[in-house]
Amino acid sequence: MPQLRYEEFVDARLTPLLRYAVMLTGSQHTAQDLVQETLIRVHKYWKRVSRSSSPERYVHRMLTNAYIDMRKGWWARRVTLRAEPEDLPDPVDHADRTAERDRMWTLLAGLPRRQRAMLVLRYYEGLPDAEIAEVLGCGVATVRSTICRALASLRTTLAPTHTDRMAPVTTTGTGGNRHG
Amino acid sequence: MADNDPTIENELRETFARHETSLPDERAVRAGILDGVAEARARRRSVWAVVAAVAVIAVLAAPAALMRLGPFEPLLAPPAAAPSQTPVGALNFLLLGLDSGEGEVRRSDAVLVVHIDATHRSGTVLSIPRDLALDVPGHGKAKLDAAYPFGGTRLASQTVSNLTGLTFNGMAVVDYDALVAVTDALGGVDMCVEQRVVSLHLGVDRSGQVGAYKPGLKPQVYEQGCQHFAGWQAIDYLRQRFGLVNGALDRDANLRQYLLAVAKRLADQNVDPAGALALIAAAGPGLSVDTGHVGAADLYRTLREVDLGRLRSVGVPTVPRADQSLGATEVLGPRAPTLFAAVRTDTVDEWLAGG
Repeated sequence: MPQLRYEEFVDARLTPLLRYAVMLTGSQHTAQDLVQETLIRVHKYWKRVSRSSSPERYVHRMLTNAYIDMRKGWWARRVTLRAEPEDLPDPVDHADRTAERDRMWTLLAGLPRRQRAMLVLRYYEGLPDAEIAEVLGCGVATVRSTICRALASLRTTLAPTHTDRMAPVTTTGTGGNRHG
Repeated sequence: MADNDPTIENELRETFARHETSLPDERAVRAGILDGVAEARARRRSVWAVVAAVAVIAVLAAPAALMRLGPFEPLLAPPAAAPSQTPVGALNFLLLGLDSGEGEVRRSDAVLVVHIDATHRSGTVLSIPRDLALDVPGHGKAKLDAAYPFGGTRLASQTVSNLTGLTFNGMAVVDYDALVAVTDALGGVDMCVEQRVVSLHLGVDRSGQVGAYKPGLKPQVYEQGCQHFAGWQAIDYLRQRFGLVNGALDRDANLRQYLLAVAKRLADQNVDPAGALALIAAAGPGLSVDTGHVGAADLYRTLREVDLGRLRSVGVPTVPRADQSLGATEVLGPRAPTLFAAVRTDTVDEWLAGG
């Protein structure tokens, strides 16, 4: 089987990755950064990625984890880092005008990133829970309970809110297994 | 908890579908990727450009929070109470050296604790044997070097905290490549070899070229005596433990000597905080540093106050024990608990004198 070339991989996967990243981040601008940074890292580790059983899934996983870890890594270069509880949600991207008119989309921005990622994987990508568990490196039970919690908080905060502010979504934890 | 509320689920699906059309400009992303790849390539070739950039940023004296750029990561669990912004009182740092690992599993080859006394004028470098059998929280009895692969820097620091009774103010994790880079950026280090050491990893061919050891090559040797080490030599030397009289324990002594040699080099070359940050940048991706709530520059200024002549070097006393499940291990020797207590109370001189 001929070796998969990085350029061919990017050609084939850029659009689906951008779409997925927009669902994850809620922002075109952030999605662009996320996909760009991830594909640059993919180039660095191309030997390893291209030899995996499914480079598509490998990169999909890389991007998902990069989204979840955004505070700790390169994202930190863009914001001042303070000691924060780990499950604080992302700030709403106020530059994204379409979000203000769309209640659910705005609420999604208020969820902790791990919860949002699981919702995207189940309700946008349509992945079964076992595959979601594989992407995020946790157990299936954790996937189910985390999604449950996310849906519950969406349900309770679907009361009308101000258009430029959302009711704070409080959670007691991300529910996932933390890696070291 | 049942999550079978079709209204919410349908609304989610519709919301996602509605946003499928708003995509970033692909051409811009492609251009960005090309730039990034080229930049990464250039970065690998020209470390000193990064060094200069970081030095400039550091000199702009950013507040502690902004110092978390690039190689700075939150390795330790955040403390319960908000500590002071400047280093006050005794300080403890955990240093982990990672081996190259088989595949993804990397164990902490080297575990060093640096304790700075409350006066900030003296301190102790402790080495803890990687084969020490101890309780790893959540995993029961295991070897110390398994804590990092089990649970990363948080579990490793928790494990060593429980063992020593010390709370860590900062931590660093480093691999071989980063150590070589830092040593070279310093212009090498001077160390004194007490036992002749034959490398298992590097060999010399007939033309004098050094490379990975293969049968037939002359192995790289470090003769007795005080000498200068380039990065690749220092790190190869520090990896060796077979053939040393006390095996891993002698290697731990070499590790402590290396750390002191680096400290001496920093002092001799009068490296200032900007230079120290540049060194950290020069290490590359294999080094991660957590200086807690203290800015890296402030911490370095504090560490410079330490009188290197009064920096003690101690290996935690252990005795070998064959363990049924773990194999060849070490266990704490009878004087170890009093050593830990001495570190906590800044009375290590008394402990060394036999007290």
